[in-house]
Amino acid sequence: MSSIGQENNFSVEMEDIVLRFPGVLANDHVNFTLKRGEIHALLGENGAGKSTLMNVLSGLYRPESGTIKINGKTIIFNSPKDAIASGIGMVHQHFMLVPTLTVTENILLGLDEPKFIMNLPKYNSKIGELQEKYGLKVDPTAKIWQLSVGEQQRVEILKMLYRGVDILILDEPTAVLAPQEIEDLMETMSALVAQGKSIIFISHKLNEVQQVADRLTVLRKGKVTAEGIPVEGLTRTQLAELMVGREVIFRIEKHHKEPGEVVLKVSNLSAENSRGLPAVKDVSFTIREGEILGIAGVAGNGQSELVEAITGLRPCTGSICINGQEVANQSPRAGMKCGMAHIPEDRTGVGTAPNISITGNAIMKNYRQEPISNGWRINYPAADEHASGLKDLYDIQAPSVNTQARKLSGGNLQKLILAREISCDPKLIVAMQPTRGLDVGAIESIQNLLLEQRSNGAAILLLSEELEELFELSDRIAVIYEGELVGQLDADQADLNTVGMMMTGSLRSDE
Amino acid sequence: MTFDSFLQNLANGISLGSLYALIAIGYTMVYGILRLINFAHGDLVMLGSYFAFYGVSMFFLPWWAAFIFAIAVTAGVGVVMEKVAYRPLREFPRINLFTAAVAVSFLLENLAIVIFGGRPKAFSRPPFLDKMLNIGSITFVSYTPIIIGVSLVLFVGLILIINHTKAGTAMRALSKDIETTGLMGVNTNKIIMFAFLLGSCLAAVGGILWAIKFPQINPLMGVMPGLKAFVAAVLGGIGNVGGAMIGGLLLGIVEIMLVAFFPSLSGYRDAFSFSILILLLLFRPTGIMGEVQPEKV
Ligand SMILES: Nc1ncnc2c1ncn2[C@@H]1O[C@H](COP(=O)(O)OP(=O)(O)OP(=O)(O)O)[C@@H](O)[C@H]1O
Ligand SMILES: [Mg+2]
Repeated sequence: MSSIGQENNFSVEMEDIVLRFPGVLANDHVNFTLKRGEIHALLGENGAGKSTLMNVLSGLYRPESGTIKINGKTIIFNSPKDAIASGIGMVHQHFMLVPTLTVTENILLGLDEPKFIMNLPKYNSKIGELQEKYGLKVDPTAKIWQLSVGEQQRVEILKMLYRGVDILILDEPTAVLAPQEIEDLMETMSALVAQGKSIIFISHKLNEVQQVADRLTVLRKGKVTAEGIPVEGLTRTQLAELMVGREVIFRIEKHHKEPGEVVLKVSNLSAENSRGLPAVKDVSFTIREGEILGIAGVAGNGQSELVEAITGLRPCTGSICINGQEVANQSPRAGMKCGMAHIPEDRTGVGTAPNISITGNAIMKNYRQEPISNGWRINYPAADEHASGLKDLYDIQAPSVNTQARKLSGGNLQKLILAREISCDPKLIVAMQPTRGLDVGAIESIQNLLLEQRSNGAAILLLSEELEELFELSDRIAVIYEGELVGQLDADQADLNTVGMMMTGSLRSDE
Repeated sequence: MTFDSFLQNLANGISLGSLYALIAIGYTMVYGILRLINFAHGDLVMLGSYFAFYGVSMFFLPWWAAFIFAIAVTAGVGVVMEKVAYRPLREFPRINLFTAAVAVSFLLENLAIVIFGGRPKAFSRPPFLDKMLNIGSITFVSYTPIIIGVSLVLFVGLILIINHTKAGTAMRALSKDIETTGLMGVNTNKIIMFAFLLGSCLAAVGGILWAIKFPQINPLMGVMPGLKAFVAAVLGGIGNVGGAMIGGLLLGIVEIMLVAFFPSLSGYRDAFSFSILILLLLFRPTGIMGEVQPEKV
């Protein structure tokens, strides 16, 4: 017997993996290795093929060619169940949980044990023990819909640990988390590794990668550009360059611009959330031409409701004037007619119709205009032409404009939304989390697009949880806390500390 | 109307309502998971009563064995129906499934006419179900409490299965999100088959009890109960098992009471049931227990 198997300290070796979607080579002869007990970061631009590669490793896709070795043994997975049996579990970008079932029921679903009767109290305590061990706090009897996103993620991780996996794949786990939750997750990851698990960690946030990862692999357009290199010693600029293949300037050019006329005037706006509780309380502000107002705040402090009220998606009290025209409590189209563009937080639910084509999504706002409209019907050749124009101009990566929107990667989907909204020459842009989940290159181009619109005289309302982004882009920064605006500052006078304190409610300043 | 006759009518209403409920559950379970209104479900009721009839008259089985035989064979038909007619169409637009359901319904009805004959047959009750009972001053036939009792046991059993077994949990999960549940490692085919199995068993029991209550069976006898049970399922909130029980009971009681209070309106009984449905849907489109579900694009 050879001793190679014993010496081998790789728990995963993927060799020469090829996977093709219609029109896209998502994984082009990819090699990837994972050492036992390490945190391995997988980086790459949007659409580089990271999720696809991990879906291959977790048994969801069968590669066209290539081999997968687990602990030195070649294995073929036919389903995620096979992968889990080999100790590989994946937490997806979109959670796989049933909202109406409890935590425990979700964890037990699809397992062979229990066979028939669900003895929930017994399993609740079993899961409790697991939680103790890894410090993943969440109430096992709660229903999923009652949990925050961070807690749902813990359920996903628990689900995998309960199945006894040794190798955990986390696909952009931090994209949906608030800063405190990110800290907790980082601690959990360290705890898991300390207990002998290995982790593959996909992220676009380079500081997180530097904080936790041991080694990293970079994909670009389906190919490996850096394979398993140590993270230590790499600078952020080098990391970014590996990902996008060119230098990324983290400082964006913002020119001084004298704001013009008032475009958006919101006065005494209040709105309730979906449970009927007050979520936006007596908010007033204005935005002028060529001005970006950034709104900072911890997620869940009324940002979504504020945006929905302004864009006509949620009933409210108070007044919302766009260029002097009252639009409060009117249809979203009323706002659009006044030149409002909306880049929503929820890309697939609100921003696009995932099951229809790029063309269909691209013409959603201007399907009534010549030449796309032919009076009473849609001129599809003209619509396709319009969509291809946007696709080229905004560099949306997709096989064709007839591709369904849901097949786009996160970054390309966001570019499609921006293209649609900006091509209408907006006077006012309401953007919520416009760069969430995007790679550094895409972030740069989207930020530049917003600044370009500012130079063209658009007024922009920007809501983001990334303070750095807010500080870089905004002319003024307002802080929202429990539905109230607790302070408005000029961006060049604001400092991180003050804004941070306002976000947690420990400071307020009324101009 | 005296209090006694009110009680008597209430008992009748509950027994009719239980039958509606038994049948409605099958509609609602299948709808909950596949978003399919299984038009052929009413015909399973008919098959249940015919198989019981032949079990006794052709195979000379004792009544209880004939009933078990009937339930088993009907369940088999239900499972085959799912596997042959519905499973291959699951990935296609919903309209194909609906069309298939209508076709299966016509197929079963016409097969029944050819095989069992179009002429109605007399269903003979086991003797102990034919007795008159007196409790105080109210009189009823012994099958009334049996129908209510059997239904109650089945309702409780079903609720236990749905809430406390693995398959039941998987069924609840499937009705929320079939794709995700499949990816979580649940064998969706098996669970959908299980749902059809349960629904067909209940339909068969409903058919046998129906034939005991109205002892004349014919190949189209499932149509009206099926339609009423569908109304009951929608009343209760289609997709919701508890709702189907409540909707069935409500419909049965209201129908019987209508006839009891306004005997001259008895001819309009069916029109009345459907009017209730329309009225309720105007004010509460999701039914009594239904929840609002955002439509997936
Ligand atoms: N189901 C699918 N059908 C067709 N094409 C797909 C499918 N899933 C992904 N793709 C395409 O494969 C490529 C790789 O996608 P993948 O989701 O792996 O990217 P990613 O690196 O995870 O990006 P992101 O950072 O945006 O999540 C993209 O071009 C995408 O459009
Ligand atoms: Mg991805």
